[in-house]
Amino acid sequence: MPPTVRNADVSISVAERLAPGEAPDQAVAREKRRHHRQTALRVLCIVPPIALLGALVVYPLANAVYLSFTKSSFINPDPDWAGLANYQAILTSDTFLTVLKNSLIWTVAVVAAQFVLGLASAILLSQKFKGRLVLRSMVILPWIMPGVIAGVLWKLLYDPYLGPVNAVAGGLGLVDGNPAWLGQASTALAAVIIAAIWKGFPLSTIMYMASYQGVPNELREAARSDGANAWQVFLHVTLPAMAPTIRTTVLLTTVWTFNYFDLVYVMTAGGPGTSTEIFPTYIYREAFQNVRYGVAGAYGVISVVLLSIFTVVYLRQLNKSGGLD
Amino acid sequence: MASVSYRGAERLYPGGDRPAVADLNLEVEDGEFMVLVGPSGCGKSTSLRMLAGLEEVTGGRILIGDHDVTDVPPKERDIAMVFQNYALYPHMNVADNMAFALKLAGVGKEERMARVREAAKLLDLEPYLERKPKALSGGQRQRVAMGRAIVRHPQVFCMDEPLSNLDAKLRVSTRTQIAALQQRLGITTLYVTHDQVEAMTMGDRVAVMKDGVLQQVDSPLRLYERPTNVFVAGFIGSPAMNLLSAKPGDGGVVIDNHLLPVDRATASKIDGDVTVGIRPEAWRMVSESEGGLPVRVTVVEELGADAYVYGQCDLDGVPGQVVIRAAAGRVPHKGETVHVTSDPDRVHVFDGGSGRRLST
Repeated sequence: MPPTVRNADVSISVAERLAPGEAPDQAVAREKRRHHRQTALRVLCIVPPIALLGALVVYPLANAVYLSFTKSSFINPDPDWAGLANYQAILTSDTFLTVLKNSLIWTVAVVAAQFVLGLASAILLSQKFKGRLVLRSMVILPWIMPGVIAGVLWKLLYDPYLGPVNAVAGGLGLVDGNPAWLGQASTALAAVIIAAIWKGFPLSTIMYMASYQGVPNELREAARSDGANAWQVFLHVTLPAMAPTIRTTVLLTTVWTFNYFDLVYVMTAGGPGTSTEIFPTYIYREAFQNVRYGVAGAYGVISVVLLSIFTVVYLRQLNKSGGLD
Repeated sequence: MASVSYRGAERLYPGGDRPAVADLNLEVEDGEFMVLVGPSGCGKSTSLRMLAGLEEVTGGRILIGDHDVTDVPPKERDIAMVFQNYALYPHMNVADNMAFALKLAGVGKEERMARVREAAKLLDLEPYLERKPKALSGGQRQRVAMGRAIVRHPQVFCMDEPLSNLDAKLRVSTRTQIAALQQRLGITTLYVTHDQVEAMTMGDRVAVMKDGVLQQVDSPLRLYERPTNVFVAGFIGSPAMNLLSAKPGDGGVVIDNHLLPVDRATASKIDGDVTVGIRPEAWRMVSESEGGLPVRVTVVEELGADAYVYGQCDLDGVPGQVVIRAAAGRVPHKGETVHVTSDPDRVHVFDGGSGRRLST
């Protein structure tokens, strides 16, 4: 747009706000100065948050991506440029497939079980019975417990000789001898998954409980007089009304579970072998035990990409079925 | 279609000392529009919900036609309910909301859609069938709730204050629409409201309740002309009937030295103090020498054709405010004192203790 036209526009807009004795072009200049001052102030206000975000998010992220293109080792910890060598090595390795498979099984099993358990417990705890309040406060305990402590606790539970798991299972005649649930590759992942389900389901319980109680009773009554039985009321009225909460909770628990580290690390540290190795534990092993920052960085980038793809696909799917509201 | 009978029906909440609905006996005829009305907490909604199966019946029976439904679950009662907040399923569009009951009943898709379209046409909802409830106005939502009930062709409609969330103007127009619709469909309807104007304008008959007890069931006009007790007299009519305390006197009743004539048959039944009810339009303005009650005018509501005159009368037994309907051209001014009396056939006399009607 030519500047003269712009000036004309401004002069029209300020024409009614002339100071006494002021010519129109003086007023235009005054308005321009005011505009510049405002812009400067806005820039000044935006700088601190951008600097903070840059230091806390962009720099570490960029550095991790950079590291993933480098090579380093215990002997030679300074990173040397290696191009795509790390990615090439990872994507063709068996370990990567194991980590990927473990991560998928781990995430899907934990999230699915937490959904079912959370929903069931939420509905039970929403019924009226004696001791409901006590039970409601108790159910949150696993969630507020630090992951490290939960890990130690479950290690004790699974202990082959002293643990109550074997004591109960042996007493019922379900197992022979003293199986080491965390010590054998065939059972370790399942054992850790069970602990993680226990540790995390109370969050789902609380979310679903709030949501369940937020469904207006009138809706259920309407469905009942429309001819629905209890199961149909739940399926056609209660569950759809809870859907926004369920979608959000499943997304959150998926991201958290995929990135969950401390419980697995304390219980098995990824072992035996690589049988319980998931992305976070394996990244930790590569970075801080094998001192291969480059490989760890590449695994990190891959896990972020996987999670991003999942989130985008999930949100797309959501928008198709009504979004988060 | 069917009749509805409450036979001594009772609802006692656990831990309650008094039933929410006590010994309710009410016969609703096939195709009748019955309105349950009363102040909040009178048990009218509970009575309706007992019929719908949403509230347990702790005593007595409820019949739909010849079928005892007291212990039958709601889904087997063939009743359609319209709720105060409409209770539309938020995740379903209008068509699915209306078709839901039919779907549950296993009605085929084509017939479902045909019935939904038919109801939508009746209710001017055709352009909105694909919309979700949240994209509708209050009036449209109300009509969807009606539509959901209509498509089912149920035996009985239960409506629980379906107009109370609409604005005043829409409420008046919807009121007539519902009454006309009910007449056209001929489906037995129980309609709960706290608004006595709604009750009077919509119902074939009106059941007035108070504290869980049915007070009177009658046609609107009978309720207005022959209220069975002081409560019904004061509840039905707007502005409300003037209720005055009086003592028996010679040829009438005496309000603080002023004689109000009542007919002989009624006078013979008077035994002790009474409550006298006079509708605003039953007052007659007289000159001071004729001995009417003196009323000092405080507010005048001009309605055009006539006017409501509110005033104070400082006699013993007269409530704080007296309402008089005055014909246009004869409306007194604010501050003026008028004298009013009534005629024997327009005075309702109730027993001072029990509140029961004494007038014939």
